[in-house]
Amino acid sequence: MTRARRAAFRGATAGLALSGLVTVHAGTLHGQEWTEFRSARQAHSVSESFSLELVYGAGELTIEPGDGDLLYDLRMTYDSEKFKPVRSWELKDGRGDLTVGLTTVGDNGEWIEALTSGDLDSDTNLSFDLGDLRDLDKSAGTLDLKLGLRLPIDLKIAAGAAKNEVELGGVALSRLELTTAASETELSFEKPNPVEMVELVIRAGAAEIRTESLGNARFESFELKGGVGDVVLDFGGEWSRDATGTVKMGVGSLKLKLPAELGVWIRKSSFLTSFRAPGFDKVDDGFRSPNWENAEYHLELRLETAFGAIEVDLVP
Amino acid sequence: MRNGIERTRNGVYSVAMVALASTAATLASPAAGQEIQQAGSQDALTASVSLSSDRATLTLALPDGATRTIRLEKGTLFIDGVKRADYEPGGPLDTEWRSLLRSPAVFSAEGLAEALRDWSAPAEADESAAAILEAALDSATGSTPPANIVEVADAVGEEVQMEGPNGGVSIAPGRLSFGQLGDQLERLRSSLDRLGEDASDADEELALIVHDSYGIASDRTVEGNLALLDGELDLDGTVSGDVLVLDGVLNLMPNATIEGDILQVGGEVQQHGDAHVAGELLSIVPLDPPAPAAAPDVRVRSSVPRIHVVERSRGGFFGSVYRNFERAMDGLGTTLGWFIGLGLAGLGLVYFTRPRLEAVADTARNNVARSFATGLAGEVLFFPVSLILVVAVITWLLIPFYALAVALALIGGYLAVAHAAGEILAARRFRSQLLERLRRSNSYYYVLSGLAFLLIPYALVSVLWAFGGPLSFLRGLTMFVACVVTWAAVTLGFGAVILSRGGTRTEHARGHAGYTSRVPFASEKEDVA
Repeated sequence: MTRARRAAFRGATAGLALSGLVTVHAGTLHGQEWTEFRSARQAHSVSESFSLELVYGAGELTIEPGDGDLLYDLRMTYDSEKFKPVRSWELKDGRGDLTVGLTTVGDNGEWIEALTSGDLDSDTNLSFDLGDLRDLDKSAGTLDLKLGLRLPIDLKIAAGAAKNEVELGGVALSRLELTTAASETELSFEKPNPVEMVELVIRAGAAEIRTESLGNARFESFELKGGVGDVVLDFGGEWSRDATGTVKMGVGSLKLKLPAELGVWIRKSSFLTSFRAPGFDKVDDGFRSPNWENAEYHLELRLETAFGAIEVDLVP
Repeated sequence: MRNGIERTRNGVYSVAMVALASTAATLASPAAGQEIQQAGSQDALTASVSLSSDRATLTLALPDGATRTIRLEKGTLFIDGVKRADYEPGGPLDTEWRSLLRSPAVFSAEGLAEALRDWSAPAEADESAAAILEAALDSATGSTPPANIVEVADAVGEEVQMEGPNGGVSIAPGRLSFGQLGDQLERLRSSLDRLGEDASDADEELALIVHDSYGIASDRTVEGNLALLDGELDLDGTVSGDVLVLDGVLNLMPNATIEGDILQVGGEVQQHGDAHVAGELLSIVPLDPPAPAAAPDVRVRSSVPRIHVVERSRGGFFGSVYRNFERAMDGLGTTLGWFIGLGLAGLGLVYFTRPRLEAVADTARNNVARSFATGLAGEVLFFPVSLILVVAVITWLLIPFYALAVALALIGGYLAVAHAAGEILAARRFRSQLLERLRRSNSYYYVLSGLAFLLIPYALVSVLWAFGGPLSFLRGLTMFVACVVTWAAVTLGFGAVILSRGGTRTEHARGHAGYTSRVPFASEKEDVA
């Protein structure tokens, strides 16, 4: 078994295991104590940079740009009988470091560690303690986060069984990491990122992921690790640099939408996966867009997949 | 709040609390006095006492029906459950207080009020706690509060400035009864606990308590924390500490500056213009009425199989070893179960239809390629034939028999292959004539040993579980081999069953030197003849 297949298999297994989170959420409704939690800061409270780690077990997650005077504004509604907010803030040398989110009452946090560790394809994550999660239901409330536009933000999101709508257009993101288990995720960048992003990482278990205008993210490196699900990666937007990317998927379909003006080189390592890339030239170690030599900006993609289908579209 | 925010903490906890208790006592005392007079007698005051090694509590039932609880516990003085000041456990104040509670006068309806009025803290006692204690007793008995502790502003609607031994606190607008203030502060304290450790002690540096609609002008600075208990507060000035919102509406006007945090446990916070908040707006507010439980439409692909998520107990390395061992034993048990089940079926076949089983086994052994190809074809044709049987309605009755026949052929074929495998193994092992005869006559042994041989890969997979993650690849590979071997054996046996017509024909079973006929079938007898 090749490394790619092994990784893909593990990813798929992790996805299946994490999809169990949804299973265990199924249950009867108990008495609910709905509560609203809010944490907000103005931009002047931090002078250098801002790091935000968001952990969210289950529910509807929405992230969008806020106004300029804002550092962040987070609101959560949840059933306090089953969930509790977690929050940690540290300010040092002008750099703010915030960890905030929702965990389960009585939970020892191991499953959130599994989500936030960024190591979904490890066996160790497949047997984490579910705590009280098996008593939960899916009516888990909402989380709305607004992010300020002034300071560079290192954003890390870990969401369990959630419906995620993340629009980050215009937000200054120096790094973005999105980890999600069983979810539907829409990630978009309607406006270009004011700063260059070092890395954009998406990890998903059993998920449907739709992205839009990833080119506006201005990332240097892109990585997607997917277990089971359908993924659409739209690399449209205003490109301003060369970039590299890696997509590792277990079972599912992958659709790549690539702007025609971008020079793209795709190298793939796949097993039982169909591949369709009309308009691309076959080269020794992959497929290359016809404009590779002349394009102003380039994207080199490595695809490692098993059991699925890959479709590549050049979008004029 | 605490993190990263430059904070002035000139006032200490006792300052605010002394001031608060003094304030409460002072404000409450006129009303209490009046009511006692209206009741006509102080004798209506009754008391109950609770004493333990670390707690000394006096509960007073006031003539107006209210209660006042004064408790010294583990170095802290509580009035009506609200922490007021610190004292030295076992010190002069503690000793004198316990002495009072043990005195017969406390249990005398006639002498209680007088005993409480006459009681005074020892001179060497903790000053803050002593003053608060005396003030609380005086307010309960209706006597005049000590003039050196509080000074009351009469004007309702203005701030009532309270001076304590170490500082002061203001109440606005106007005074607030002791009971109400105590209740509100207790509610504020317990609510702040919901915000976490950072906020749990935010009520200890209160400089201003607002309990009804009020305004703070842009040129005003509140030195310390501000608590909004109720009403509507228009804040256009500066607060050097935190703003605590228990209830009501906090309006942050354009010139408002808060150098600390806004801690909201109820009510509303509304921003009008560019108010400056140096810290955090942190709130936890119960939603009333309960929000509709709008379940998010989390849709998981229906094709995603739901699997059993292993729940483990915490146990670190040894827990992991235990789980791996448990999995290994589970796997071995399952394999053993299959061996026993298939073995019993095989033994039954040998007992009842040994010639047929041997014919199928010999067919599989001597015509491997042909049997395998036939089995493969049979497997491929299974679904088309099934489809034909379904489409041709008249053949529906045959479907159960067809399915049963295929199932029996698959199982019987697999057992026949096990028989053949066992026979081959035995042939390699035994060389003497005696054992050779035993071999020929012992189909039971063939079936069981062959089955064991075919199931060995599964047992190996189970054993590999004991070594956990590091051998996961090898485990997967072994499992793959086990599945392939099983499929090959089933296909081979299925083909042999077809070729030998269920073991009734032996022409495909012949062809190797070692083949020895068993009890001949009827057709064979004719051939021999």
